[in-house]
Amino acid sequence: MLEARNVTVAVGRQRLLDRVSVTLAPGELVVVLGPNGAGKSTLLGCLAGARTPIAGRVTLDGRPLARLEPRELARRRAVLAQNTVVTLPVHAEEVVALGRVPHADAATATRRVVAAALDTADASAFIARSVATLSGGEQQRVHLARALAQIWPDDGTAARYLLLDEPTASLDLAHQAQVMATARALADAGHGVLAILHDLNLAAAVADRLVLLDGGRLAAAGPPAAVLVEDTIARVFGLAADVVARPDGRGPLVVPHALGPRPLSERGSRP
Amino acid sequence: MSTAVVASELRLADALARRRRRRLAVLAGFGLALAAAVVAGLGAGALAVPPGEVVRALAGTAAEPVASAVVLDIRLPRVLTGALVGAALAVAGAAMQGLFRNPLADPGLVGVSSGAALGAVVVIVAAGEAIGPARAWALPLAAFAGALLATWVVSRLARFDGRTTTALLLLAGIAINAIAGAGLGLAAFVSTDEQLRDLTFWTLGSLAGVDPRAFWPAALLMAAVVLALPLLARLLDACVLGEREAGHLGFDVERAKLAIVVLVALGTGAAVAVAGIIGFVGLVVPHLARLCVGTDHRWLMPASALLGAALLLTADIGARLVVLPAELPIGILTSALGGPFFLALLLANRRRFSL
Repeated sequence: MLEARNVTVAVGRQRLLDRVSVTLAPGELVVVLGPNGAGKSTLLGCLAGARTPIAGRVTLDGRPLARLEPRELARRRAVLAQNTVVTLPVHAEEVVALGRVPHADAATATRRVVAAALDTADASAFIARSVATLSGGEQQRVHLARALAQIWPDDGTAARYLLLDEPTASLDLAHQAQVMATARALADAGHGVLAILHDLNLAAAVADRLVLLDGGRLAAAGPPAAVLVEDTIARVFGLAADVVARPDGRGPLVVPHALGPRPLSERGSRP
Repeated sequence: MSTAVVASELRLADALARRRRRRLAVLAGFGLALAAAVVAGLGAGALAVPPGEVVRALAGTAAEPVASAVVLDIRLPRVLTGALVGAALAVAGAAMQGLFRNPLADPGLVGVSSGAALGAVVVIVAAGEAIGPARAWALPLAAFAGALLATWVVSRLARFDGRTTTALLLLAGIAINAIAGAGLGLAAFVSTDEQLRDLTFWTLGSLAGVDPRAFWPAALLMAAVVLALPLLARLLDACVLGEREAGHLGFDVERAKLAIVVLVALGTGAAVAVAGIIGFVGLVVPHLARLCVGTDHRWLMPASALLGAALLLTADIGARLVVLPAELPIGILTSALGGPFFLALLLANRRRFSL
């Protein structure tokens, strides 16, 4: 289990996160939601071990991340950042193979995992192509394949964790659905996945639990139907919306009012 | 396993095998070029020694003692120095480009070389011959200190918000080159005629005046750097994705970065201590090598080392022959060739580097 307990992060006097607790259990897909600047990426950075909170602790199976060997941590969790820019000419499969560096396995094993990860991310068409020549969405799929390769469950010992920062941002609709289906399948196979999304309905459709952040604090957490209610959406996003049942019955569907949202300036002021 | 995965794996295996063959061929080619440059460099000069005689002299079976003495005693130290300087500057450039994720990073352009030269010159002017035999080690160490200081300042200045920007990198380089230039000018102003000759040699770059006392310390340092930097190849590969990503992949980035910066400063400092400022090798060579073997640093580092050594020896032969019986400082030649190359690089990448 990957767990953040009462985590506080501050830059100068500003608190980016204020006593936030999140757990990510094996077999679970958790989606983090919230307006821009709510602290979503900061929270993901803490869970990844890239950011050290000034208070609170982050543990993997009960052990503080700071005490884990970086390489051991890298074998257990992978991170897909929001925008990874590659400025030197590198081939797609070379980027994906970097995900296997923490494992130091033989060339044939690496090749097998790289091929499977590329296929899973629908990126095997980019073999032998320079990443810089790919579109933003295509590059994102290559980086997803790298993250998948890093935690590829080849020895089946411990649960792995995948942290995705807006994995759907530059993808077309079909690939958005495919990325989240991949995340869902990974969770169903017994691993933990945490993703930051902006699309409330995509989140409601795939997530086991939602975590809603607002101004660095936990605004709500729980199953989609419990978090995505009209009051909370109005309070956190400053957006009037109807919440209805999805036609297929899988969770709530948020329908923002086309006109007349609360002005941006009123956001964050709590009733 | 689905058939699609098998198909991808076959395609991947095919692409990897093909690339590997190509890379091996390139490395072999660079190695042959280096061997040819060594033989040519040992043979060329006022007393021309044919290649066959050069090889026999190296094997210790030369027919002519004079030719053998010229090859082994006079030219071999110079050729070895040239090869090591070329290799050290090239791998230092490749490492900086990987670390800064920027194909325009070069020890000369960002001021590491002039920092090293300033360090060496301070020793020459302030200590002179007074320190005697200690000078052989004091020069490369002072050059190393100057290089380290310059590298540290540049890497601190050019990083903002976890990223290194091209503009800041090059602007910091301009500033450091200006400061080091002022220091070198001041040193020239207060130096004696004898020291001035040494200074000119340092600022123009030359393999002609290699001090035999300075050879071994510098050669050992350069060889160590050329062998050590390729060990960090996978870290440099990960850095191409960004420092944060390298951290996610399990690298201790801060410690590794320190190792790279120290090794780059050591290699550049030692090169400058024996041969002065030889510009653009660290820019041009990794660029050409990357065109041939790609950015995988496990291949790029050895390819850069071989190509750097071969190209610098070739340039040295040119410098020795172009204005006979005099000799052109090699730094003038590399700058004359590297400057236009740099301009062409800017032209080709104008959009990407627009600041």
